[in-house]
Amino acid sequence: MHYIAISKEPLDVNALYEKVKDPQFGGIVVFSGTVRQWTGDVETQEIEYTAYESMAIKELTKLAVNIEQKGANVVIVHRIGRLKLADEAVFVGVAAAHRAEAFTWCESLIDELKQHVPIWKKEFDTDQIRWGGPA
Amino acid sequence: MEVKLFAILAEQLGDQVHLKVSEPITADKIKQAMVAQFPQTMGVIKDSMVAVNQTFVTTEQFQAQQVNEIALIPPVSGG
Repeated sequence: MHYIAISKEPLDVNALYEKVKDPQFGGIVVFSGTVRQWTGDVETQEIEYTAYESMAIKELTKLAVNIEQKGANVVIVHRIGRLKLADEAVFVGVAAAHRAEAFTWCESLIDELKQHVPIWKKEFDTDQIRWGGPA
Repeated sequence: MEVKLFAILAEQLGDQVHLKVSEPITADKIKQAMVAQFPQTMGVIKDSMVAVNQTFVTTEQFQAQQVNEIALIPPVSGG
């Protein structure tokens, strides 16, 4: 059964990992996205995430249900608020019967999240503030 | 009707704006009304999506009574 959340608090990665585990499934893949200091020549200091929370939950739930129908357990949590370097912004965990599906589904979930889910970052870089990060 | 704004649009104009949109309501009409009233948002609106009742819409048509919530969704950047 999926677990989906938008969190104002720091992500407890170990606790979320425990939520992914399920005796039915023998392969777990976790993607964790963190705040990166350098993007090329641009140095980031902080990132502020905001969301259309109720719609983001709906969109994430659709993504999770779609994968779980194939045989998996899915956990997706995105942080909002002001994040420091190396803070976890997102956690995507997939438990599946075998590793191949777990890798594929975890990658497709984070790809879909980045393309469609209404969450935004405002990046505070040393040279300027950028919505969405460096182009 | 009230239209919710987020991210760069909310920073510029606040959390929502009132737009006049005639029925049938469509994503294009909402974007056109936004640009007509707030021309400075044209660049962002061009790349924005529209959500009606928290679902992305493209060519669908709505009557006002079907609409509980409209939002303009600038390019997302989660993850």
